[in-house]
Amino acid sequence: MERYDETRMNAALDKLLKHATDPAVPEGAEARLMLAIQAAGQQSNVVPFQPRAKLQGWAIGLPLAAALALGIYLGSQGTLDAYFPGTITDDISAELSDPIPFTGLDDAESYAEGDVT
Amino acid sequence: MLLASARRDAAAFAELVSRYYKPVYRMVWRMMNGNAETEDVAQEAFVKLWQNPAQIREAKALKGWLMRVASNLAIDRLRRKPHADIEAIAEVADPRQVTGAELDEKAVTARVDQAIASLPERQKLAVTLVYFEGMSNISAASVMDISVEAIESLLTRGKRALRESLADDWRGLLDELSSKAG
Repeated sequence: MERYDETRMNAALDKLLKHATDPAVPEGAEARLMLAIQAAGQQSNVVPFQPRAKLQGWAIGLPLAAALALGIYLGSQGTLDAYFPGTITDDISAELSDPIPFTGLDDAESYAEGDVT
Repeated sequence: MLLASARRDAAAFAELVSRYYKPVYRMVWRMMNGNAETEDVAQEAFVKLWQNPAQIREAKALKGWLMRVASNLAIDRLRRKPHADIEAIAEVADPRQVTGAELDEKAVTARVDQAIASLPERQKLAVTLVYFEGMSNISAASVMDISVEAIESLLTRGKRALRESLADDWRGLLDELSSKAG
């Protein structure tokens, strides 16, 4: 084998490869394939969309309305004030409004009359 | 023909089968070293096409698609069976058992088949597609989903492996062929 150079070896290999088996298709193979195909049926590669069951309008609205009503009730009763101190506004607004009357009209009048004392 | 097959036209599909079954079968036979499951694997590739023809956009891509699916199925089948390649190689006849000491034409064929069977699967697929199925390097690269440079490399390594595998019998095989030709 040493005497063979690369080209000659490739040529010899090509020659040898020509002697490899040329496998014959078994008799009836194509007919068996067609039978298998008819048995297999055909399927689409698109998965059919299954829509979710449609909810009735009231089925969504009822819990939302109930939650809203409960929120209004609990808020008006002050039941949850201890849990949400940041939401308490009554006393703070009273403290702010008492010492400073935000009318502004009295001051405007006195300036208009030239009373700058 | 592809469109007709997509419309579940069995006659059109039969035409397609008659055109492409043989090369697919030959390639699978080579990949599976003549294993008895060759027909099953070739059949499965066509059944996949029948069940899902939309996978192929252009008719000219059909043969390449079939070759790719069938070769993947063959490799999967061989990998599922532990030591399947070793068992399968044994299915290709040993030339020494065929003729004893003297090589004849049948023994040359058996020896070459055995050398091909012993190739790693990717080299074997490249050699099968290019040498036995006459595909261009570009088409074979497309079937294997690799670059043309990669398939050239596989072919070079495959040929080298074949030469090494046949080294012991090289001169005897060639002399045998020469004497037959003479």
